[in-house]
Formats: sequence, structure tokens, C-alpha cells
Amino acid sequence: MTNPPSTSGDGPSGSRPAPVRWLETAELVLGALLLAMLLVLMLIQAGQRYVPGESWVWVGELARFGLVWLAFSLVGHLVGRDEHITLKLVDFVARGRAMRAVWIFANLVVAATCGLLVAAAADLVFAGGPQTTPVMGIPMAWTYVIPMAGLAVAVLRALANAILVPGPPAPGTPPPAPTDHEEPTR
Amino acid sequence: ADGEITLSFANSYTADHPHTRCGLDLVAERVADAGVGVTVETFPNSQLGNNTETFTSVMSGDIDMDVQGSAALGSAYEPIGVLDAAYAFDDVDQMFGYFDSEESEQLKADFEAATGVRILDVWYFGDRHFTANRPIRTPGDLSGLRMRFPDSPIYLANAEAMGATPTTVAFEEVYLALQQGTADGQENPIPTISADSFDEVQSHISLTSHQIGSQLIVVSGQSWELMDERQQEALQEAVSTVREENRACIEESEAEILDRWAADGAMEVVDDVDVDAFRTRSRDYFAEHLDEGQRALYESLHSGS
Amino acid sequence: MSAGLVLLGTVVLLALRVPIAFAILGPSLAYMLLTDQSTGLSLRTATQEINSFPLLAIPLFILVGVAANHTGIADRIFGFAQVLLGRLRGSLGYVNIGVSVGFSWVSGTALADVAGMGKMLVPAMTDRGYPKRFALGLTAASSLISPIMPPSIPAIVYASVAAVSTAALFAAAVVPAFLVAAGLALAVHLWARKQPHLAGERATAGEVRTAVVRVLGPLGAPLILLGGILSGLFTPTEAAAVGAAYVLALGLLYRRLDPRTLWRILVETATTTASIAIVLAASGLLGWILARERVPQDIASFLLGLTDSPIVFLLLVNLVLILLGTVLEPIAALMITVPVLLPIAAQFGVDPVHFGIIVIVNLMIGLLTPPIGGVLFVLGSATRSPMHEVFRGTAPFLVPLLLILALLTFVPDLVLFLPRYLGL
Ligand code: NA
Ligand code: NA
Repeated sequence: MTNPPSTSGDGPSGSRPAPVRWLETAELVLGALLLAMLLVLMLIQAGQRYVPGESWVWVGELARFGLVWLAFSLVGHLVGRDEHITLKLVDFVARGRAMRAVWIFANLVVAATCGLLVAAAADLVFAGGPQTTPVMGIPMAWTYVIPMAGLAVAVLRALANAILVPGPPAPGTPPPAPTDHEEPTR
Repeated sequence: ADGEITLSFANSYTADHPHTRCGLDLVAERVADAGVGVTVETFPNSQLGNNTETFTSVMSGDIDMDVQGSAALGSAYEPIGVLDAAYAFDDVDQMFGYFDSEESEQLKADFEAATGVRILDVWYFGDRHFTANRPIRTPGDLSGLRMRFPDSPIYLANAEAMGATPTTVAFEEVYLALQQGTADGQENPIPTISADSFDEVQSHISLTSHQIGSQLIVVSGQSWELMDERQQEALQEAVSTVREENRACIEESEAEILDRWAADGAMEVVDDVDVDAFRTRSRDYFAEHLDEGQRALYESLHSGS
Repeated sequence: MSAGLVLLGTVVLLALRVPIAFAILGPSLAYMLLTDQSTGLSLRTATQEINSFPLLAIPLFILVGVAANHTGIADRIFGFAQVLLGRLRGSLGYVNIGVSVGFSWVSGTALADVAGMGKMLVPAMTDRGYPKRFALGLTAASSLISPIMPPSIPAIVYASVAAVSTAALFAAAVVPAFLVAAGLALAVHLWARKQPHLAGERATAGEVRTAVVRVLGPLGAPLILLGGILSGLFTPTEAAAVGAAYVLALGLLYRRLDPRTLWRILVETATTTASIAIVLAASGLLGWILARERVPQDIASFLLGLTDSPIVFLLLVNLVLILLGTVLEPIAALMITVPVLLPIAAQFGVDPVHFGIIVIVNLMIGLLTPPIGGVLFVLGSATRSPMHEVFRGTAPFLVPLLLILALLTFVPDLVLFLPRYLGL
């Protein structure tokens, strides 16, 4: 049995303009690479216990930042596809104009929230303090570059949703290829 | 400026750790008693973020006061990390003496210039010792053991200085790592070893005292400037007078725990450690590996001993 | 602006279809602005929450489950469960539970595999004359075994929030997970007694041999994951990495892992991880605000003034969590309630590991209840069944689940026996 991957699921927007598709691919490639990096780093860490000699202390630190970057690199992707964990109760109640209003409102809230976080990230990146990460000695400011970019993309995706997309897919009528990821995993 | 002011004071220790009950809480009490319009609100137990994060918040002025080790402060101003180098000090009195001396003023001023954070005073955290499942009397006894050290440049340098093979394990996983042999030993002050039950999974504590644990009481420069002179004096006074009571609290707790271990045999206390061998080795190592400025600082800390 | 307003704002935004992470972040950011915190603090606090070594196990355990899903491991477990349990009356009911138990050793969440399980098991059961409602309900209820049985994503999050050992929590969850399976099996037994037409059939020796051989490879995964953790070969995070590598290798061996499938596995794992991690990050900021406003202390003094009985306290906790679980995403509910409730639990003398199991089982039951049951939603969508149909089937199984929850609440030894025995 195989689950259809979220790439093939019909997102809310149906057909997408080319720049959006490129952006999506870039986001997914970055996310997949970071995940692969986590896997390799943790395999190295597991292996180090059983080979004599110095252990690479930076492995754990890089992996922890990898998880942060992974999360923020895909914020926009999840916004664009309405795949963030969402209480979709209103889908069963609201129809037509009301649904459209809720959809626009929710996406504007997401855009505003991500906008504030982009400002926060920019503050950390550009007005960054003197701190460095303990092991690798990377300026802490740099570690917020991926979150800043991911959140900025999320602002654009939320605005595009609000303006260009009529609304979420109707509830109770699963799309032709059943998406197992309407509401992602916990 | 004058008027009422509320200061947030954070640390990463539990409510019954000496740094909370004979630390934060006492400062809050003293400052209130001074009646100068300053209220200290305490946030122990990492409620406002973990160690590195709370210090960043002190720099940004979001948290007013914090209790921090030199190693953590070294992530913002590298030279200060040296205070946590192995055998930087011989004992607590020397360490307190340094912070009261003229020489330390320059370091504090440089630190404040780099970070915008003011160092009010230093508190004692307890001496750091090794635990393992065998005695560690000489540097040679460390060979073949993977010792867990915190992941901070100066701690990793300490490992090398003393001849240990460091492995880093997140603090939450240290107990399990020791129990299952992922790490063979670790180093911490006695109150921490007891509070986190490392005595259940280790058989020997070797009293190397390789680090006179110190914790600096820091205040955000912005918050400091908001206070008038009387308020500043009251706060400084409170932090500095608590120093001795806090030390007594730590030493009392150390003695109690050592007595308990002697009584119930949970941990064999190895007190015939060749401390001179560890000290010489460490000091030689740092003489060779620290850069010019840091070496001068390191050596000045224990000069005259 | 008080903490109460932040929470109220979150609830309103949640109802208006704002994703839970942003429903939490929006009002929280407003609080940060209005209380004059520095610009960067909100993002620093949020990222700090996921910059954590124990939480690194989450993407890796999700990877194990997703890879197992894509490489046909559930099919193999299904075949094995059939030859093992096939001769009992109502056999497919037991097989359903058996597959869930088997798959729970490689999966840490309910939602990751309930769709696949539903697509495999519901048609298998209806084809043999089992009522569809029964098949749906049992599949939904038994999906709770995955997040309780180690490896468990909620357990990893709890261990990280409560600063207890992940391994101890994993060990503590084994008996409760088997109790859930046993409770459901008892329900199947009581039901099947009145179904004479659902007689079982015995497997031939050849069928047994094939099924056993096919399940040998998948059997290695729990050996690595749980054996590795409990024996101390690896930390939970490392074990997850080794387990993921093993399942991917199995996929290669079974010729189920082409580059396209690998890409799908990575993308599905990465997006699932991101959707959880963002909620964790948002909850971290809310937690900071609650601490800053001293909400935990207020709730503690309220509860301690109310009662001094641990039993009454735990009953209250169960009530609150069940209610929260019906409307809130479990991980967010866990992140928000545990920092508040755990110190109180400690004052009542409740063991943090025991408390963790109570919290997890409670919140998982919430996945099965309207209005927001995630399992009902995913299973309904995977099997093209209306959600109320799924819930009608699930409701009877809530009885054994709630009884087991009560048992686990009031008999702590059921939970604590195994971790103590293993010395964790
Ligand atoms: Na099932
Ligand atoms: Na599981």
C-alpha cells in the first residue's frame, strides 16, 4: 500500500503558474536535503560511539539547527497547499460567500503573522548580536537566514491564496486521488 | 530616572537549588526590604528560556537579570570564557578575590562594551569533579574513558587539557547515557550530580576540583540605566551580600551529600587524587594553546599561588 | 494585554480556519508588541523550542513510518497476522488489531498510517461480510496503538517538555499500548460471539511459512529501534536514524524503493515534520508568555486550594484533557498544558512518567471524538466514508479505551513497572 505523496495531491489552487512551481520545487528540494542531512548526521553520531578516536562534537549542533531550518523552509509550501494543521470545522458550516470571507481572513492573518516574524528574523539577521553557536562558532545571526526566507515566502503564498484562490476544497468530497494529508500527521 | 521599576531575574535551576532558594529568592527579598521602589520578579527553572537564550534576552533587554556561567557568556565575548578553564583558580577565595580586584574591572568593562550587559558579581557554583565507574586519580586514568562534557569550546578545551576524550550528550540524556555506557563518565559539581541522580549510575567520584564553578550575576545595561543611583546601589548591595550566604548554602549542600554517600555507599568518594598532576598538565596545555591575551588573563587568575 | 486575551484570540482564530500555529502566533505576537519586547525575541523563543536534541527524533521516526508505508511493510504484517489469528471467530477483527500492534513498532503517530490501514483493512473486512461501520470503528480505535506504543512522537515531545528520559517514557508506554490492544480485542470477542457467519479458517503450512519469511525483514526494525534504545546501544534519536536506514535498505531489497519513491518519502516526511515543528515552535512562544504572566503559578494555587487529593487532581486532569483533546491538536495541547500541569502533578506526588502516559492516552482519545477527531477525518477521507459514519462505528470502542485510561490513571504500577524493572 502506498500513500500518494503530497506533491501529487491536488492543492487548492489547481494549476499553478511556472514561478510558483519552481518555488515549490526549490522549497521541497531544500526540505528534503535538510532531512537527508539530519539522517546522515545522526547516523554519523550513532557510528561514532563504536569507532575509537575523537568524536565530532559539531554533528549534534548542526543537526539541531537542521531541524529548525527544515521546519521554516517548508512554512510557505504548507501555507500554499493549505496543509498546515488546521481546524477545518468551518468548512462544514460555511458555504459560498461566507466561506470565501473566512478563507481570505484566515490567509490575511497568516500573511500578517508571517510578516511580523520576517521583521523579527530580519532584526536577528541584520542587527545580530555578537553571539556565536557554541561548537561550530557560526554567528547566531546566520542561523536565522533560512527562517527569514521561508517566512517571507509564506507571506507571499498567503497573499496569493487570499487573492487568487477561491477557497479550500469542499469538505466531505475527497479529491480524485485521495489525499492522506488533508490534515497532516501528529 | 526615578520611580517604580520591576526587574525580571531568571536562572536555569530548580526551585530548591541553592542558586534559587539562597540566590534569586534572597535577592528579591533584600531589594524589597531596601524600599527603593524596585521589585524583583524571579523566574527560575528556565521558565523564560534555556541558558544561551536567556542571556541573549538580557542583551536585548527583554530579561533584566540572569545567572550565567562564564562559558556561556563566552559565546558573546570570547575572552571571558577563560574563567571556566580548568584550574584557572585554586579555590573559592581566590576566585572571589579576583572579582573584587582592580584587574577584573577591565574585563568587566570590556565585556559590558561588547555585550551591553553589566556584571554585578559572582556566585560560587561548587567545584566540578569527575564521576565514573572507576577512580580517576591521575590524568592517565582518563585514557579509554569517554567523558561527557558540555558542548562549549572552553569545556572541550578542558577535556583536552586534562587528557580526557570528550563526548557531548544533551544534559537531558546524560543519566541514560551513563547508565547504558554511551558515556563512561561526566563532570559536574556535587549538588548537580546528586540532584540529577548520577550517583545511581556511577560508582566513583574523584575529587579533582578541576574547575571552581562560578556563576556571574548579570544585568541588562538598559535596565541598569533606568534605575536611579539609590536603586542601583540597593541592587548591587543585595547581589553582593547574598554571595556569602549562597556559598554557605552550596558548601552545606556539598557536605551533606558527601556524608550521605559515605553513609549509604551510593558513591565511593576518591579523595587521594593527584590534583597537582591534573593542574600542571592543564596549565601547561593552556600556556601552549591559548592566544596571547587569553593566556595572560588565565595566568593572572591564579598568579601568586 | 493579559494571557487570557491571548488564549481567547487563539480560540477565535482557530475557529476561523487559521492554521493552529498561526492562531497561536498571531495573538502571541500582538502580546509581544504591546508589552514592548524586542523585535527578535518572538522568533528566538519560537525557534529555541525546536532547537532541541530530543526532538530530533521526530523527523527520523516519521521517516521510519513513512518509509515502512511506502515499501509494503504493512502488507507483510497483514499476511502474518492473518495466518496467526485467522482461525478465530471474527478473525479479521483480531487481525486488524494485530496489524496495528505490528505496525505500531515502526510508527509514532496515529494519522500517518490510519489512511493506509483503512485502505487495506476496511475493504478486506467488508468483503468477508463484516459491517462497514464496525470495520471503520475498529480501524480508527486501533490506530491509537501507534502513538502510544514506542516509538511515539507524543512521548518524544512530552519527554522534551517535561525533561524526563525518552527511553523511560517509551518503556512506560509498552504495557498501556498492549492494554489498549487487549481492550479492543475483548470488544471484538464480545461482538463476534453473536456473529456465527464469521467463522475463521486455518492457514496451510505453506501459507504460514510464506507469511513468516515475509515478515522476518520488517521484524528487524523494532529490534533495532526498541532493542537499540532499551539496551543502550543508541540514544532514541540515533536509534531512529539507524531504523530509518534499515527500513530504506529493506525497501531496496524488496525492490520497492526507486528514486521516485525515495523522493516521495523524503518530501512526505519533511512536510509532515515541518507541520508539527511549526506548531511546537508556536507553542513555545505561547509557553513563554504564560510563564511571563505567571499563569502556571495561578493555576497551581487554584488547584491546590481546590483539593489535596491526588486522585481528585488526576480526575480533573483527565476531564480537562479529554475536553481539550476533542477540540485541540494533540501536540499543541500537550505543549501548552504540560508545563502548567506537571509542576502541580509533582506537588501532588504524581510521577512525571506516569503523568506523561496519562496525558498521551487522553489526548490520543481526542483524535477519535468530534468535532475535531483527526483520525475520523483522515480515515473517512481515505475510505470515502462520511465522518459521522466513521464516528458511529468508533463510539462503542470509546468504552474500552476510557476504561483503560481509568485503569492507567489509578494503577500507576501498570505504567511504572516496566521502566523500573529496566532501571530507567
Ligand atoms: Na487497525
Ligand atoms: Na509507535
